[in-house]
Amino acid sequence: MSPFVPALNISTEVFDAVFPFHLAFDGDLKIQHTGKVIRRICPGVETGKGLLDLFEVRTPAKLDSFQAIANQMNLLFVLRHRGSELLLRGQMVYSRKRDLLVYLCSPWLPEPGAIRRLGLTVGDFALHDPVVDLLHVLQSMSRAVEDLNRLTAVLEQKSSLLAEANKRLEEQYSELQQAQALTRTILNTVPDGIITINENGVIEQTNPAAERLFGYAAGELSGKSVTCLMHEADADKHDSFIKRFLQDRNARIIGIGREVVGKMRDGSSVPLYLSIGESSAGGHIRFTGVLHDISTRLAKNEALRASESRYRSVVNSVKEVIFQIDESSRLTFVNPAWAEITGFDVEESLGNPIADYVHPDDRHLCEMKLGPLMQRQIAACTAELRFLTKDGGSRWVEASARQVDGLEGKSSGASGTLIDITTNREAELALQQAKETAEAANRAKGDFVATMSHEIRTPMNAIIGMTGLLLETSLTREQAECAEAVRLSGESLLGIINDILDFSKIESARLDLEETFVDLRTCIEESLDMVTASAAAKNIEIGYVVDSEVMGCVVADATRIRQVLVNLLANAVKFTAQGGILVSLKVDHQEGNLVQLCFSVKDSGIGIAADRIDRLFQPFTQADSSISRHYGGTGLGLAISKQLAELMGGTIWVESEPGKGSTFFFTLKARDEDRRKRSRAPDFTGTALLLAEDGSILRETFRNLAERRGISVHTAANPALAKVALQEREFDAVVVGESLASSDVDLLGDALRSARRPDPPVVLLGTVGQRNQQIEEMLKPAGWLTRPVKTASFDFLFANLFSSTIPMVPVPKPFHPGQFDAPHRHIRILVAEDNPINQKVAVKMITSLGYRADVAGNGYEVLDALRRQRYDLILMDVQMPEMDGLDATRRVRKLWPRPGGPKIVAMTANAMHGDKEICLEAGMDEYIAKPIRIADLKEAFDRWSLEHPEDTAEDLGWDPSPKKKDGEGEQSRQIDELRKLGGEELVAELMAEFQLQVDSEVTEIAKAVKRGDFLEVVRLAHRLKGGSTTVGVSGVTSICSELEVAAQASDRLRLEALVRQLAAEVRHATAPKADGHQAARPIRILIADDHPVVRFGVRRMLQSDSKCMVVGEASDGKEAIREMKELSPDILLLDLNMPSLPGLDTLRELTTIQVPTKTILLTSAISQREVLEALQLGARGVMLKDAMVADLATCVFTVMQGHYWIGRKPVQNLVQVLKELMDEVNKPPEKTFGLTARELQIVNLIAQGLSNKEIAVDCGIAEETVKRHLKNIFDKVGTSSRLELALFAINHRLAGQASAGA
Amino acid sequence: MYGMVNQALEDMLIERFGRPAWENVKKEAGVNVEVFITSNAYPDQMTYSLVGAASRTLGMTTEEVLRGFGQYWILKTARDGYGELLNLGGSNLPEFLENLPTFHTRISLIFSHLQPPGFSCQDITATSLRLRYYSDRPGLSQFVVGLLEGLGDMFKTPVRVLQEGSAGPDRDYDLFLVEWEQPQP
Repeated sequence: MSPFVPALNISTEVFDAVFPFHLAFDGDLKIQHTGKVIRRICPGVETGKGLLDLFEVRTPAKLDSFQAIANQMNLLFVLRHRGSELLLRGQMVYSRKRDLLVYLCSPWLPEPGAIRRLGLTVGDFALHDPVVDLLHVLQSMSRAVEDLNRLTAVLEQKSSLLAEANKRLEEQYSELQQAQALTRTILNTVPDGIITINENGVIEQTNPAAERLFGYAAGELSGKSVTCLMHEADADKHDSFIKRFLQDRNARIIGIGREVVGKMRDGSSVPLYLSIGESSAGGHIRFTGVLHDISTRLAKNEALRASESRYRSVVNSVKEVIFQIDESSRLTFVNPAWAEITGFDVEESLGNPIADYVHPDDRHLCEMKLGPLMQRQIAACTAELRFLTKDGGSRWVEASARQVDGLEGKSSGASGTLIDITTNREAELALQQAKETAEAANRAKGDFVATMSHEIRTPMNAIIGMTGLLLETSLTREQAECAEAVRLSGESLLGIINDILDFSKIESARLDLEETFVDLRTCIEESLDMVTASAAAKNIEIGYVVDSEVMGCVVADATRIRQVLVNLLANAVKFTAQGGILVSLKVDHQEGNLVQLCFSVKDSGIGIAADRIDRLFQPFTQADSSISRHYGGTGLGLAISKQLAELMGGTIWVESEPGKGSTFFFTLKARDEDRRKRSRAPDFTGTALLLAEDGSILRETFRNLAERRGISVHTAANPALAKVALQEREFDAVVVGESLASSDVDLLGDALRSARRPDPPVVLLGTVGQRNQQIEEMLKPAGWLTRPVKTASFDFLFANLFSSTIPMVPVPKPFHPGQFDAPHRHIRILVAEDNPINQKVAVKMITSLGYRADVAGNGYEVLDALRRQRYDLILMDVQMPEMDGLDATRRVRKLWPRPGGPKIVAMTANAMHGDKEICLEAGMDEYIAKPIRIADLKEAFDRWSLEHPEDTAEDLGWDPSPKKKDGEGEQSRQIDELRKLGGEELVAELMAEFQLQVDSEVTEIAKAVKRGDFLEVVRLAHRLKGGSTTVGVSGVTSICSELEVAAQASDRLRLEALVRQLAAEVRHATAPKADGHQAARPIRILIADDHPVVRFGVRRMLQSDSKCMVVGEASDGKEAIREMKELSPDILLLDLNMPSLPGLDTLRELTTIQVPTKTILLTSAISQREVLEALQLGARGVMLKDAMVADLATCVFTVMQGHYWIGRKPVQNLVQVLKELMDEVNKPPEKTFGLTARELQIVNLIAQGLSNKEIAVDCGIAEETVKRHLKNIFDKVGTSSRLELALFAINHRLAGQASAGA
Repeated sequence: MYGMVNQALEDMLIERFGRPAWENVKKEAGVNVEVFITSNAYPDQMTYSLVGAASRTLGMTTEEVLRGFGQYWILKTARDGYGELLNLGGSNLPEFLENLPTFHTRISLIFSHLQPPGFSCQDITATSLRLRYYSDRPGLSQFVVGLLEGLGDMFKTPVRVLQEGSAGPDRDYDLFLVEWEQPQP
């Protein structure tokens, strides 16, 4: 041992500091000494403890004794502390001096965290100890591993990116290959030659097109100098070009094409278009030329130039102007014809707007046409307009222009032509004038025909009427045959004249359609009526069906529809020998309220050959001239029908087959305007009928009608089938056709008796005027219907039959002449009374007593009246203005002394003593006190009658105060009171009024009950009660009271029962009474007509009826007025057109005198305006002369009953008719005849009677201008005087209301 | 500088400004290194460039970058990556500062190219000392300030660092007065 070691002589502290973890143990392995740090970190380590108790020697192995350990001191010792698992690493050292083994060690720390876990600090380690450093190394290793992980991640990411990049590259490579293939294909297929040369001008590559272009074989050009494809001069230029380019890189033709001439293999030339591109790769420059063969294009250009030259010569030589304009409508081209037509120089015109050359009056038209063209709204346009000429004139041209398409669909102006049509235009104008003249002549001809027809018709009416009357007298057989022949010929002639009149009216456009509410079923039924008799005579069935879609009512011209229908029906009857005729109606289509209706008339007649059909609808043509000979007729019927159908907005055609019959169709347009106006069909839903009828058409008609009303109809064509049906099921009624019944009435009777519902009510279906007693006795019918079955009869019959149902349709009340029988007394009475109310009361009372009276307002009027005519009796009020009764009486007595003078009866309210004496003293005969009573008047009249027995010969015993019948009760008493107050007329008027409204009120009440509107029921019932009280219909009154109570109690069941009762009561109350209250007194009639034949005819027509008496005649209006005053007739029949004072003027005059007469206007034709005016002037009827033979008596009775009559039928609702007439009359004119607003204004003023000067002031224009306008107006409407113009204006509704009056 | 320094700078900038900002800084600095190897030595200039680029692109002064980096170095890099070893440096701030020279000695034995700075403590009192910082690298005094502040945080000892002097012709160290409060027991 070196002396150095002992010499160190280190202290325990130093040793401890240097070896802070040492352990010293003795031969017994007992711990003798330890370092301070090991003591701290290894629990249990202390002096005296056994080493192996505390530590396990891990290496070297199997050392369990001091000596064994000492022998292995050359080895590294690792001990494990048993308590803390701490590993110690160190070496054994033997201390001889102390005979101890010293274990010099440090803790083995596998990772830096162990330091903290062992509670060690850096100060616990000796400075030389590398453990801490070792930890640093470990830490660095750990960081290195982290670095490696991070690098690995980056590498992986990069690898992934590389893989993607690789994939993309592969894709790009693939695309590149495809592109190369494509390029190759393009090169091989492109029609242009492509040649690539290097910088030395050597061909490197060519495509097949290039080889073909120059005539070389494939691959033959490669390696050759490109100059072999050029002519010598070009080859030189080429070489210098390459040289220059390589020097300064300035290529003038790179990217620019040019035309060159190539040299083909055979030395010939080919024109080419060459484009050159340059490319650089691998430090080498290459040029690629694309060569296009332009020989074809050059040839085309040459052709185009030639064509252009030809075109130009054509354009320059045509007479028509050819022009082009730009989008601003400025001329960009015109051919030389422009200068020829307009006179303007071509060059100076270009650039100017084309409109500048258009006549100022036509410029607007020009702009209207060109505007949309330039805005591309239209492709082309044409117009006729005037172009200005340089000399100040103008030329008419027919201009046409068409868009010229520019780029991208934009307009680039237009081109077109102008054709000079000045000459044509002038010719056209002349032609137009000629046409107008011809049309005017045609109109005049039409007017003439119309007028002539009218003139002929009036005497024709008389001839027919007279002949009819003549036939009613006793004639010999021969005379009767002659008269019958006259009548038939007259009717035939009248038919022809009517046709001609219609035709000429339509031809001359003078036929105006009327617009009224048309009940379509009624219209058809009325038409059927016209042929019923002739069809029955030929034993032809007729009937009609209406499609369920057809509305009840439309606005149209009923007369004209009927006319067409009747014409078609008459033809059908005429050409049908057996079978039937069926009218059908359906709706073709409907748009808004405009509906197109289609009527058809189908017959089973002879039919029409196909080649004749075309001629059918032409005037004066029949299908076969032999037809005319066989069947007669003018051949105008279908032509008129066609015109009428067309006038009504429809058409007419026929479908026919010879031998199988024809179907005529006609359509028309109508307005489905007001649903309230629709006729309401009653609802019989739930009822079932058996119809036993052998005629198929009747069956169809009946079924159509019944099913529309909800009735289920079962048909049987013979009695046996009827029996089966009756046994199979129950029917509410059985309708039996008479012909079927007569075939086996016993079987039918048996069937009815054995019916499932025994003895159902039977309705007999017969023909007018043919009743079979035997059948009636057998079947005991509950009602009758006549064929063809009509809606109204149907509804009335079944409403009564199924009594629980309310009839919705008022049943027309037949007019019964006996009803109006009035007493006839011939006392001429004058009432002198100033108070209008008293006048009325007196007149009513006198009327009620069967007398007529005139009225005078004061004494002077009494004297005037007496001067005009004789009066038998004057009822004289004492106190009157101007001249009182006493004074008047004195004068009367002076002028018309007794006897012979009138009887004067005083009427005075001064019921004081002395009054009577004063009256008698003044010359009065009798005295009655006011208020006057009927009884007093009657006594006065009776006394006069007694005094003048010879004058009462015509008194037919009428009892002026009829006794009421027993059991008539309250109603009768009330009517009597009314009769007393206002006379029979008042009763009739009030009853008529009541009748007009009661049906609708009952319906309204039923509806209100149905929807539970009890307040409304109360209101309606109260109103109806008022009306019924006035007219004394007490049954209705009491039901109304009950209705009010039930409605207030909201008792629906009771209300429903009451409504049924009310309906029945109303039917009862308004039903015609067989016995009138009046005794037989003829209606006194005055006839005023300028035509003696008409007067004679009317007198004969009426005198054949014992209820009427013609009391006087007048040949003009003035005479009529005189007669009126004289005779005071009940009815005045007044001709509309009379000389001296026409009908309307007479009527106007009549309003100034007070007569109770009712006036009926007689006319052949009348306008709506005239009808309205007549009604406004107090006329009660307007009668068409051609209807007089049939309807005059009915018309008179109707008017007497207080109703109105217009045309051919009574008026149901006067208010409605007046309203419709006024609407019609006040409608603005449909045609203005091309008159301007100013001209219309002037026409209106002329119609008001203004002079030119006044018109000028009114319109604020010069009088000269008025004259100019007037000239134009005359030209346009075809009149020549102001008066004609005024009439024209009024007739065509060009003038307003004021002027109409003027 | 060893890679760990650049790596720490990268971590800090990514943590505070996001990876795009870091990529931008690298691009600005002209540094094209995907992964810094911790125990690999990189040119000092690279670190200077990165700090300068961060200052330019992120709108901070160089001093702010360095001071922040110093704090980050102690609180994130050193504690997370070398925490146990850091603990060996001492159980409180003054002890740590006193052991700092030995600490660097040990590390420089492991990292052969390490040019560690030198530290020495003077005027040691219970609440302050003066630290001398010797370094061949210029301009890193704010990095030292950040380090000292980071240590204060680590030992939960509020610390105030005042640079009292800078290295220059007359001295070869920067001098810092480090004052602290007594740590809470």
